[in-house]
Parts: sequence; C-alpha cells; structure tokens
Amino acid sequence: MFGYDVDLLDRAPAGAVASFAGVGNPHLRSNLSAGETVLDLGSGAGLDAIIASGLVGSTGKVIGVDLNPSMCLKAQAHAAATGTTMECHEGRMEDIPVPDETVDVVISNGVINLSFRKLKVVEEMFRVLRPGGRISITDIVSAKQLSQSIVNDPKLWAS
Amino acid sequence: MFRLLEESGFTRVRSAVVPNFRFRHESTQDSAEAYGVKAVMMTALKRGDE
Repeated sequence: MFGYDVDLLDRAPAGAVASFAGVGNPHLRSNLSAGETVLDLGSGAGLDAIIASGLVGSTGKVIGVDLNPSMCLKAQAHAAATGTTMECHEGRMEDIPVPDETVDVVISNGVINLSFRKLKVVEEMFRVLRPGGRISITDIVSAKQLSQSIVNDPKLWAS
Repeated sequence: MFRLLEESGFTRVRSAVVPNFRFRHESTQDSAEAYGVKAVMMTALKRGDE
C-alpha cells in the first residue's frame, strides 16, 4: 500500500489500518529523525501519526489535528496500543490549534483537498513551522476546474 | 497547491505523482481521469534564518 513498510503496517492497530483514507505515503519523503516535532494535519485514526511517533522517538513529539474529536480519541487509543504517544487536538486546518513556529515537519494525507480555503490552510502550515521546517504531504489535485455538480456531490468526496 | 505553497513563502516546492493511486469506485475513477485528477506528493521548505 503506497510503499508503506509492511512491518510497520503489521504492527499498527488493525483499526488504524482499516480506517486509513490516505492517498499516498507522506513518510516516503518526510525524512523524520529523532527529536523532531511533527504535526499530522487531519490525523484521522492515527496511522501516519503512529508511524511518525516511531520515527521521532521518545525525544520527539507528534501532534495530530482533526476536525472530529472522536477521531482524536481513536487515534490516541491506537497510538497507546502501540506503545507510542501523540497529542491530538480537535480543530480546523484553516485555524490550526498550534502556536507559531513550534513544528519541524507537517505531514498530511488526503485531507487538504477537502478545504474550500486552501490558501488559508497553506498559510497556517507556514505559520506553525519553525524556520527551516518542512512539509511532506500527499493529496488529490485536479488539472481542471471541477464542475459544480461534482463539487456538490458528497459521495465523491471520499470514494 | 503548488502555486499556493510558493505564494505563501515556501521554497523548494517539489511534487510527484503518486503511482498506482485509484479511487475506490470505478465511476469516480472515470470522472477523475476525465478531469485530470491525480494524487500527488508535495514537499516544501520554510526557509530558515540564513
């Protein structure tokens, strides 16, 4: 699946894998290292955050942000089941509940396309990153403007 | 997205298509192909104090 390490997937909680709705693998180019602070924007059930937590180790920190508080609880439970920890904050990606310049790496997987205010999302990622920080995201993009009938069809948002 | 990242101050913006990505439903996949919809990986840097 998108180049994820099979061993990592085998060790991850089944619920985190089953709920995965990513469109790629942001870890292929995230180059996470021990001690870094990572923000997973739209952390969902926590699979990418759990992988990040393993890479940054006990000296690092993983912060999830999700619109849905029940997903935050699920992600934290999944992290705990693997012996890792993550913070998770309920919040919108257009108003990230994280202070300025406190994050080394922002990862995100198939979430930003859901926002109608993508410029604001990008500005927020820039705000929370420390100077020298980086992003590694995977997402859906379109070469053409989508018709209004497609934009208005919720069945197409997650299929 | 690429343009938004550059306009927001990010540097070294890079993108690559995610190979083998497909939507779950064939009808969605067909629409996606018609509109040039694809999954991409993007990386970018917030310039440090230099």
